[in-house]
Amino acid sequence: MPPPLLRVQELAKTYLRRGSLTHPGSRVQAVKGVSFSIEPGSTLGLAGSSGCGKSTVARCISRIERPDEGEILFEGHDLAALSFRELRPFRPAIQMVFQDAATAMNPSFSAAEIIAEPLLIQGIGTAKERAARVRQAMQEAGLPAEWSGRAAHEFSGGQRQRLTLARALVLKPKLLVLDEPLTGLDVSTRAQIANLLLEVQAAHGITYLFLSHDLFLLGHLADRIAVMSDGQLVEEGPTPQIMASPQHPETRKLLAASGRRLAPAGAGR
Amino acid sequence: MTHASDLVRVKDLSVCYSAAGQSVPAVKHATFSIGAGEVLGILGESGSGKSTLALSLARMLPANARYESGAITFRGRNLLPMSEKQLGAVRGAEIAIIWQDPALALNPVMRVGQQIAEVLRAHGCRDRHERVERVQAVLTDVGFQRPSEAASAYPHQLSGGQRQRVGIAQALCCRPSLVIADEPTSKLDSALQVEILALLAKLRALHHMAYLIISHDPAVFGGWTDRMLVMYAGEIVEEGSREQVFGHPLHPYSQGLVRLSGAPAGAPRQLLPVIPGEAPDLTRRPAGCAFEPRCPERMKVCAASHPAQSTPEANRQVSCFKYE
Repeated sequence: MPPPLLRVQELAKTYLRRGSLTHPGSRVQAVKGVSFSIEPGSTLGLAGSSGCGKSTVARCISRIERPDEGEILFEGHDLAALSFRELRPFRPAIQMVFQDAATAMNPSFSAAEIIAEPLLIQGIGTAKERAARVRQAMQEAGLPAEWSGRAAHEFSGGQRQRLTLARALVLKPKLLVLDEPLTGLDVSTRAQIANLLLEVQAAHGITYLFLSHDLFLLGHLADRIAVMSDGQLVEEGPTPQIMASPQHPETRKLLAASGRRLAPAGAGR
Repeated sequence: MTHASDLVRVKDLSVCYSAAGQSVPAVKHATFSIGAGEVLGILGESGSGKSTLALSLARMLPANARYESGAITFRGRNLLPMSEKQLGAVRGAEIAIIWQDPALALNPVMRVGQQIAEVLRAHGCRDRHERVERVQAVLTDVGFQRPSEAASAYPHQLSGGQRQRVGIAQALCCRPSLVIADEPTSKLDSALQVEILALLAKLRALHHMAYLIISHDPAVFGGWTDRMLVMYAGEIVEEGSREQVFGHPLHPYSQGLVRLSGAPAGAPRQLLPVIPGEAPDLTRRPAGCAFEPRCPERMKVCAASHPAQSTPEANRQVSCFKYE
């Protein structure tokens, strides 16, 4: 078995909740003792309902947040111990796609500028090379080249999500952290983007950490599924096993909620 | 289709928005009805006109919308010629709305009990003690164990699911006969969605209200919707009972949507069934059937002319050349 691309060990993160005049501030343990690993080229689905701490795990791995405790071993380097300056060379390899594509983009930029921005920040390539990579990323995300001059607001929800994906792909990342990327979309658009993610993964062998509350979707996308509840990992295993015989009550709850989708709606009351 | 017991009748309704000097048709020639106590679902993608159709029933469209033609009859009265004052007595009391995002629909600096009481007062409940009692009763109805605690909370002190319960309490406090719910669960995670839908179904059984439920997600309608409309590009393309539309959809668009949501959880990395392409730009509507560019069963006639509504079975309508 190849060594894992990412190994997370005993990750913990506490946030400070601001107090008011009458209530003192308090500490909220968002994530405690979370450990898992992802093999190169595979997808780990991180499931859980809102507030379970899965986004905090994602933000720690992307090092938007610094974890309080634990190790984030990416190809053997512990990202948790690095300073922001030391992290710079690792940034292109780990990219994040957010749920709300519209708020994750500069509204005054054209599509081409939005996609090229990460290359500029990383100081990659000449103007000509950057333009070529932007064209390639747009093609991979299923965006017609002639839309490169359009502003973000001229795109539909699904097209905007393609745009954020193109922006992540332009850096040729090894790990893509996807935080509920399909949640705000129509059912038909959701399936299109899910298939696009599968195609991109098949073409480039990118590793995915896919966050969702929807086990139905993860059943299609993930090789393994990890379930979080109340800041902790409560169950982890191969997707078919999690879907067929969930052990933890939280997994069963999530499965029952998406089970509503599995039965055709006309099947009865 | 209309019946004698109809609560609402919409006849040949067309609505346009004017934007940037252009007139954009959002709803075209919609005809349907909702019976007393009936749950009608509208299924469609964003931009299909489903929200415009639903909000027009409460005459709550934005200022740049224009009713081009048609009539909306509620309990025998046409809502379209009514003044704002006349509408004020209907809205909130007889026709209520549950909004998609309760965080936006609630006043952030007002306790939720007060916000519900305000609706009661606007509709003639003058006695303060009675208002307090009714607020507590409706908060209990929507599932708050300690209603007085909930009533004194500000919206930000509640979770997303609790805020949606408050939104439902506000809509139901005057015992309306029609409740319009536009994507009532799309901002919630799947476990909460199930809870809120079960609550809506329970309240309907309790108070015998009619619902108009709008969603892009077929799963929202399962189990409790009586009848379904499927909308595409501003038109009702299919109408039938829930069992008919989901069990045996006729229109290729409905068939695609049902395949999407009914797909079993397959092996990992299996492609999902999709409807290719995107909904048309309403300013450049195709000359023929609006679904023709995405339709897997398109014929020559589909691009050239517009299909009429046909009735292939009793109580069932579809707009598609396959059935003409």
